[in-house]
Amino acid sequence: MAKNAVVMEGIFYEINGIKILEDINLTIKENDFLAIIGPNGGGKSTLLKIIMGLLKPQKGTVKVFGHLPHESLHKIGYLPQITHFETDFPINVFETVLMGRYHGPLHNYSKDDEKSVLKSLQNVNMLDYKEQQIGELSGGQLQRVLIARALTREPQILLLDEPTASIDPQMQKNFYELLSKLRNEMAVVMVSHDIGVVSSYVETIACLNRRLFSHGPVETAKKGLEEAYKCPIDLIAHGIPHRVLREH
Amino acid sequence: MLEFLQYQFMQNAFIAAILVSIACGVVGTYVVIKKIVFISGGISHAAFGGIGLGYLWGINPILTAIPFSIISAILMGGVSKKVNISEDTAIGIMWSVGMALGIIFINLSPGYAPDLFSYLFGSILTVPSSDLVIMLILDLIIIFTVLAFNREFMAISFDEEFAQVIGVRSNLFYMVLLGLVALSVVVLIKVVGIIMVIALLTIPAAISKQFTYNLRNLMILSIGLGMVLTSGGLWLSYLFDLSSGATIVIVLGIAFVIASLLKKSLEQPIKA
Ligand SMILES: Nc1ncnc2c1ncn2[C@@H]1O[C@H](COP(=O)(O)OP(=O)(O)OP(=O)(O)O)[C@@H](O)[C@H]1O
Ligand SMILES: [Mg+2]
Repeated sequence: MAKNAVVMEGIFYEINGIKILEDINLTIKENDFLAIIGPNGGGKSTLLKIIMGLLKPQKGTVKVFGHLPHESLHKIGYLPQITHFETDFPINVFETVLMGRYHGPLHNYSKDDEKSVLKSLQNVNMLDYKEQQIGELSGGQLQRVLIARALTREPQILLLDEPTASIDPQMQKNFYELLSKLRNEMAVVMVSHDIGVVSSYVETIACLNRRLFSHGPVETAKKGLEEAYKCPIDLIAHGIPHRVLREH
Repeated sequence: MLEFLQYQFMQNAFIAAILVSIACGVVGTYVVIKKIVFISGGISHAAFGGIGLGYLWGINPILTAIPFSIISAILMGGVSKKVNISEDTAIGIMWSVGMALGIIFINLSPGYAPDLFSYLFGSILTVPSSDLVIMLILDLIIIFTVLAFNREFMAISFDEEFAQVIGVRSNLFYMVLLGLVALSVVVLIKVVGIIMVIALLTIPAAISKQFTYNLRNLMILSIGLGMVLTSGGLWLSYLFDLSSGATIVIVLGIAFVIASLLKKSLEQPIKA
């Protein structure tokens, strides 16, 4: 029996009286490969931040590997949704990824840390850029570096917020293949808008639009998804025609 | 040309310039990359309250400025997290209230306040040896704190959210960083004065940032530039009998313009 990586029970989260998340109950197993989809503003990023303890829900409990979120941070790898990034910050690719190996105050980075960083950069095909200043990268390259930063933590659960947003098709393919490999070692949760691609890789899909609409294996979720999306509708705005779902 | 160095006050002035450059090179780098210029300006002005307190109690104002600026730094950085006001509002309030407190304290002090102007506008030529010792100690505290916690400062400056995810106590280290700003403000007060502190905290690092992407090099370059430019300003002020603090700031400003033009011309594509 696989252990639970994340257990969320009765989560309510609101900002200034506006409900962002309502009655979320979600269990993620340690070997799950889950995609969270949903319209803009549906609360996907918020949900990930609650799992990491960056945001505190007003009601409900979150357990990550049986502990409170902030006690399990060392088991979590996180790729933030890239909205805007400081470009002329004095830091290079290697140093950026190395930060993922942080061990606490007064602990220097070790040789092992450096090796792990190089391996993670290799995994996302960015090793050649390790000396490059972070602002000199393209959006997609930056995203790959930040994926490496999440991987180098050797996490037991990987939380990826729109990891393929600005990555080219070839690299996306590599990336999904990498994830298929990684998922034997860790739980993977990714937020995505691209249901078409996602459904051929992931095992379970959850649709989030303030409430959790459907959560289950891709095959059975499809019907629920369609239902869920009829109410949020937003998906059409993402340019994904409904028939994509039926074709699978 | 170097005959002016034989005076004790000139020697002190140059030592002060060096001590000041260390503080601004190290802390100024974080001020610039973390974009906390405004809060640093607030801390430096609020420090005037501490100066006034020194007059009121009849002790060295530099000593009272230390706790005063640290407390105001913590209030500015921390209040906005607890109470629902934005940080820049908190800064604006502390900035002016701190200065007002200083003036009231001085009003309440017996007699009149000698060399008050040296705290406002700086007076590198009158830095006593005892103040140099204080400046040296503060510099050492700054250097050791940064050596110990550079990983945390880097993490919170670059990506505060990710810093939290990797377990850096962001709020705590932000406060420590503001504390370092407060200490460097105290180091700088005697040299350029409260009103112009921010120039030394930002300009050397802002110049250096155009030429290196490595944090350590950035600090070293800023320290070096600070030394050259403050000493240069000091020498010019002596030569033309001008106010030393203001001359140093003008020299820094001109250096910034020259460096930016230089950087731009280096980046121009070479036309065939
Ligand atoms: N700081 C904030 N103040 C007020 N409202 C906020 C804040 N942060 C998020 N929200 C609101 O919370 C809701 C959920 O935001 P969230 O970022 O989780 O959405 P999302 O599903 O990740 O969307 P996207 O697909 O655009 O990334 C949105 O309606 C947003 O307006
Ligand atoms: Mg989002």
